[in-house]
Amino acid sequence: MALDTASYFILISSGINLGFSAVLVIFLIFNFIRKKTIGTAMLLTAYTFFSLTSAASIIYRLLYIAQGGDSALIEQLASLGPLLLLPAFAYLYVFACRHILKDSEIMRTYIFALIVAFFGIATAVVAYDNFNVSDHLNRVFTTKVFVTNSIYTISYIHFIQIFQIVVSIYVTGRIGWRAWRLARKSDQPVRKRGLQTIGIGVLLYLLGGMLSAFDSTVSGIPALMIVVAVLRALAFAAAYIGMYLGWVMPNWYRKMIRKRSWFEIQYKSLAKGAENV
Amino acid sequence: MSFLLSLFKSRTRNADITICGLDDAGKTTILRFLETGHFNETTPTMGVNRETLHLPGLQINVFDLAGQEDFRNMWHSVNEKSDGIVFVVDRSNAMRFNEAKYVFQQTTNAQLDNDVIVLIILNKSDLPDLIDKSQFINEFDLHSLPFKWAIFDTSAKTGEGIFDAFKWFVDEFMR
Repeated sequence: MALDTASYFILISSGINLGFSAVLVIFLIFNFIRKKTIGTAMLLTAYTFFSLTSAASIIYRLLYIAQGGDSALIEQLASLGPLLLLPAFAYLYVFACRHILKDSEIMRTYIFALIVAFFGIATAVVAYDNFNVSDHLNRVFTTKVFVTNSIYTISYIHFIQIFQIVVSIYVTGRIGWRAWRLARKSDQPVRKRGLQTIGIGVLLYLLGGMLSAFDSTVSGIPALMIVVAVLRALAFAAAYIGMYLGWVMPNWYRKMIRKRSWFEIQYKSLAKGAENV
Repeated sequence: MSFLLSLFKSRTRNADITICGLDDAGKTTILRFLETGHFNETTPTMGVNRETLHLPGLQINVFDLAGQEDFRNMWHSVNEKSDGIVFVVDRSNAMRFNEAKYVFQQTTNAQLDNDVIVLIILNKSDLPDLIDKSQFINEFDLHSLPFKWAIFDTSAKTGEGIFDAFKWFVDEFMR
């Protein structure tokens, strides 16, 4: 792992990401204290895991700078941090099942259990491997695939990443699709806009995910890496904000959406008229 | 110090009001009129409709309660927390006058605090054969009410009196 100029930009953009998600976690804590509902607790848990993922990516980079090199702890954080997205999606899925998705109790339990079980196994494997292998290219659970004359090395990390991508697309894609459909059917402006905001949040999350995939293909070009990293951080931050606004619907947001009522307009114009006299 | 505290203090006051009355009195129609400024056909309310009015310095949360007999036993839980109630009476329905009187007295005697503001609305004033307002005041014994109250003739069909009634109500909260 090398830290160059681009890494500092990535560090800053991850910081932006963490900043937004941490602020939303604080808002959700207040929200939970006020409402004390299971739904708010689920959303808070999901957002906490999203924040921890961003925090891990910053901490290991900062540790690298501070220590001037790699260490077992940095390796652990670098590889375990992204895994925290799995419980985040598991909780987001269960939360969405309360309002948007119509999955049965059994389906919900299976999907949640599958994601969490995979998270547990993957965490154990990664942690074990990090402490037992000094050479990153020669990991314990590496598989060698022979294709004609070449040998491709496939690490279990690739399987974990594939699973993560599948889970994130499955959860966000379903939430987004259903939110758009419900928004089209809804005739209540506040609910309609709320669902649309969730849909936009999900689309931005998928965009962030696509940029993450693009990130690895441009790793040799620092300028492009910086642009992609900043765009990705902004997409994720906007996605977190969008989903938060759509689900929590704070009063100021509701106020912005709903049209002023006839009585409000009449009363305010009367009050304004009285002031002018 | 008080200046610093005032920075963190919300400048907008909150008031919860409930609209109650017998079924088919026009409660939801009045609420929809407040919202849109014109008459809207409504269906019987099952439970509660909620609407928020944002006025300068005051946010009013309006709870429109279902008037059917089966729902009336849940009124007290909402009314007890209310800062004001709007009691709607169908002025054209003499047949249900005594029932309306009984429900009004039940509500005002058992469910409200003394500092609550009460607005009584005689709705459907555009229809013929109306109950006389003074007769209504005497029969309902409004003068003995321990609350601040007012009575208005309205029609949620034409909009007559609705603004004046709610303006009085809001002005009372603003005081």
